[in-house]
Amino acid sequence: MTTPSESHPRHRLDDLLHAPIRFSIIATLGGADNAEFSFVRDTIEVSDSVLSKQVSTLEAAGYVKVKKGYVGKRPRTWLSLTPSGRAAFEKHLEALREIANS
Amino acid sequence: MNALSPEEARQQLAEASDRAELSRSDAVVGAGVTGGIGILVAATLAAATVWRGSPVGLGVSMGVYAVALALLMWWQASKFRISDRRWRRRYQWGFGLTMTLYVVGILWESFAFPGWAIFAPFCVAVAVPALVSAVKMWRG
Repeated sequence: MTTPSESHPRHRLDDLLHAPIRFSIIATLGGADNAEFSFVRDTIEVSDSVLSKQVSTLEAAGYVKVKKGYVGKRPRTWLSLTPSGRAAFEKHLEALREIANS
Repeated sequence: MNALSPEEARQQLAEASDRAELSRSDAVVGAGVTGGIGILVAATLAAATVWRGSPVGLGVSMGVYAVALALLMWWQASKFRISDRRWRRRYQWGFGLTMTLYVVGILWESFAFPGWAIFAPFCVAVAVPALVSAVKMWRG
């Protein structure tokens, strides 16, 4: 018995990016080199703890890079997509386009 | 299994597109820094020519340039919340051309100073590439 080939675009959706909040985070970072943590939080309308948890998941997967520093005495956290994160996002968007056009 | 309808896929694509619309205030900061650096470099070329032969004058003008640049960088770091990917290329083009003109200016005034009637407009022209990039960043 042959197994059906996984040719439907839904098989190319990234499981990690399929979650709504993680998708919103990656979409916000997609057009940027860097984005401040508070900017991403305010843009996607989640709490600090929720964003921090999702960012940790994306960072562990190698999709997001987190950089911490100070401006004066004020701590700042900057988020950016890694090359693999950007590639995964593009691949996910491509699958979405195929589904949208089906 | 990721079950997604075409309508849901279109909604996600629309969200990805919306997220790409970045902050207006960040565009102002990016443009301000890029344009400011262009003006600083042009002013530094003029000052270096004015103070030619005066180590104290050159030192003071370099010091003013360094302080002004540090203040610009501090302002950017304190205000910037997101940096658009398109801005990086625009900034590199503007800054690169401005610095190239600056080097040309330094060599020109060192070996064959043409007089202020010609050199002053050239100093202004040094800032133009960075200012053009700044305008493009401001317009988005």
